[in-house]
Amino acid sequence: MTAKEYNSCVDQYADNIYRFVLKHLKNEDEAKDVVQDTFTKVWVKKDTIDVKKAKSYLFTTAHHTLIDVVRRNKPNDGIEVLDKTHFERPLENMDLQEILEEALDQLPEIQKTVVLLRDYEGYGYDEIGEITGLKESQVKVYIFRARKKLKEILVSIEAVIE
Amino acid sequence: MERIDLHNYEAFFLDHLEGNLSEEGQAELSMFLSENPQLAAELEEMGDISDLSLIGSEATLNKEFLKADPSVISALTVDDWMIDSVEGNLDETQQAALDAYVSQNGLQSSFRVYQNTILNPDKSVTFGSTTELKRKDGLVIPFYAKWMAAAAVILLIANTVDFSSTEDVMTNNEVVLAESILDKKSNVNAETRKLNQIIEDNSTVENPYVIREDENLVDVVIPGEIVKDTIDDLKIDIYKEDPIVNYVPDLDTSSSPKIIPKIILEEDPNTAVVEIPTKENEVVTEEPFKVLTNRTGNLLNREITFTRDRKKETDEYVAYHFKIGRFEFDRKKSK
Repeated sequence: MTAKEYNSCVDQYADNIYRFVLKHLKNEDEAKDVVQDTFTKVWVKKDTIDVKKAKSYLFTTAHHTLIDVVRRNKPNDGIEVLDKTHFERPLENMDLQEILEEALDQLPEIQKTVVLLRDYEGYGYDEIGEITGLKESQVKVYIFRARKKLKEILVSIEAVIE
Repeated sequence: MERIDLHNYEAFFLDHLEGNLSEEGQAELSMFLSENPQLAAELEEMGDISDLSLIGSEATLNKEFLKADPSVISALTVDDWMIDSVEGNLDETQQAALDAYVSQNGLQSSFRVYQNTILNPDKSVTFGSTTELKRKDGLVIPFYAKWMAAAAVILLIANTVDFSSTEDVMTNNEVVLAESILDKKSNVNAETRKLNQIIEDNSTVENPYVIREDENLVDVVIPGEIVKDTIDDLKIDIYKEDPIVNYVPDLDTSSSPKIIPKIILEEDPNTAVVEIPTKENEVVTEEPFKVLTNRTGNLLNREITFTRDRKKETDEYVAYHFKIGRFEFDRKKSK
């Protein structure tokens, strides 16, 4: 990957990676640091990266960097299943996407990761597997569990609103 | 219809046992039991009149309705089908089959909720200016270079501001030498005091051998023999073990030529001064900024040392050694 191609990747993917990381960290400064670290690591190895796989490489690097930060911030996160039942804002004032975003925070980190990669970036199961280091079947299981969990949360919210 | 959960499942069990459960309710119950298999045993204990078959004294539950074939849409598999639909994994035929099943069993709302689980990115959230992420072709400076640069700046400052005077640096050889000189000076002073005492006691005798003005420099000129002592230079005098102070000659000063005290200059060829022999290439290793490097090392959590080799004979620095963590740098003056 040349410097020009690298800079093109910055234009194309910096925002995507930032949104992906921000969904996990909920902290803009930390998220920007992760993005910066990610691109720095990619720049150092740019000569060995095929530009066609640059996006995947970027997300893989971002995911690994993100895991380090999450573990540093919350040593047990990603292992325990969160069971939050409260929302930061009144449900009546939130639209569906906002409720969904809140519901997303109630998923374990790995489920959140695979769903975000699937929905935000449209990655296939195999690509998500490459990025996260999971088997394709594991990715499917996590996505299915995540969808069911999200559905349960949405149903319970509907019941509350009604 | 009320949804089955851990607080109301007994009612569903009862409806099921009494045959009052609708198909949708039956599907709900099947799903619930698949998620809570431990409750299937409870249902079994409650007994199922319709599916009960007596085998000896044991009653068993027909569990066929709990089994599922993933390729067939059923109460147990419909959720997976819905998720597959949301994920875009179904072909047209499968999608049509699912739509029909959903419609027949009144699962539209459940299906709609699944469809709502798809996340859409908020494009208004952006990283901001990407200028700082962009690069130009050039030298990549590794991360540890920052620490090296920091250390270099500290050392530069340290060199500008002389925190410790190198004049105070004294080698072991020099310490031994200084002690030797001080001992000798002490002896000479003692002998001098003794000589002065004798002179004072015989105040009538004019003694030409003593110079009183300077305690640090006692030069006595005796024909054929010179004794000189000073601590100002790193030199040792040739000194007779039996100094003249032990013996005051009984001279007839009236007939003898008067002996005039003579101040001996360093360059006087008659001065019997012998320098301590030093090896031509003997060097002293100094660590002039030890406090600074130690503190910096503590701050950076890295071992930092800076030493330099000084040629003892010429006071010329011939080598520098800098170490930070695992990285070491040597600079030696070419011969």
